[in-house]
Amino acid sequence: MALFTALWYFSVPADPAVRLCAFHWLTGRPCPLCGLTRALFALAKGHWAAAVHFNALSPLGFAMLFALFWEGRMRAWLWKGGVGAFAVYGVLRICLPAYLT
Amino acid sequence: MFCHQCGTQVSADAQFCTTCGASFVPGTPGLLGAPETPWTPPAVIQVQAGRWIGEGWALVTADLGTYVLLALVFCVLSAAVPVILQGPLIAGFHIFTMKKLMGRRAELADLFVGFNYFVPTLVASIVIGLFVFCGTLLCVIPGLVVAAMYKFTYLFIVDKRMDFWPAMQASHAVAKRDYVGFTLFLLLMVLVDLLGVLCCFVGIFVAIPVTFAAITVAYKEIVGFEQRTVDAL
Repeated sequence: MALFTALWYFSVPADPAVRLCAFHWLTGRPCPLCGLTRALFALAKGHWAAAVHFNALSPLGFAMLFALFWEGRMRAWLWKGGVGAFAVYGVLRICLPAYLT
Repeated sequence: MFCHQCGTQVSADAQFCTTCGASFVPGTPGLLGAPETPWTPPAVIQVQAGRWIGEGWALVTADLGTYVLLALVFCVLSAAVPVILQGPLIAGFHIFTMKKLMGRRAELADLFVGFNYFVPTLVASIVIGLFVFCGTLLCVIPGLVVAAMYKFTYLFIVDKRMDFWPAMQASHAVAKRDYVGFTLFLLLMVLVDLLGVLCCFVGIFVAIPVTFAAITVAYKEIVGFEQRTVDAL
């Protein structure tokens, strides 16, 4: 709850001056997970469109994250599918023009 | 008496050579030639990161001088010969703490007993390093999760005589029970190391042993030491 309140109250810059992602630093293109932190802050405020803009698979990513707290076959299924989806998304982000990804 | 294989002096009632692992009991495989122990992870694992680090701290402060010396030698050798020596030295660090936890007499030389497992620990350190590097490339956090996943690899190699890949899989099987908890455990250890650096940098020579000791304590609780390892050490 405290984490959610912090995410709701605070915001991170939409276009950070310094990027921690080494993949982005090396290639100039976003990695499959780039934008998830910004998307998390946006989702906590209910800004779904902004979250999807930062990372199109962010809702899936957070479903995978929260699934970690529950045991079961659903979790394994979600993670296998999710990792595959992020891998495909990563390739698209590298190959397609920036305005499409 | 002396070991018939490497010539090391050992106590008269020893069953294994502590240096090369040769067996002194007829018909018993040596420490290194012993077959790998099959192992299945427990169904429920409760991560108690704070308590494990607390117990690691208690172990280190009880024999601070030797631990600091151990960390110093570890850092100097790791810096002098990067990559190659890191795996065996980490295994040696764990062996030292394993002996402490068993109530045996641990000494500085135990750091080098890890070289008995040179090939699996070396390959493990290279493969884990590669995996962590790839994970870190993708916005840092996956690298942390991967590092947390393989924290017990060296202990499985030493304790269960596993090769590098089964040991990595076994470590993963443990972390799989609670990815979040084990990643937080790793982050807490990173915090301990950072605090060590902040203490005029020399604090790192206390922080490093605390983190290794905490991992060994966690392994003892979750997996437990193999009886033949207890006998051999």
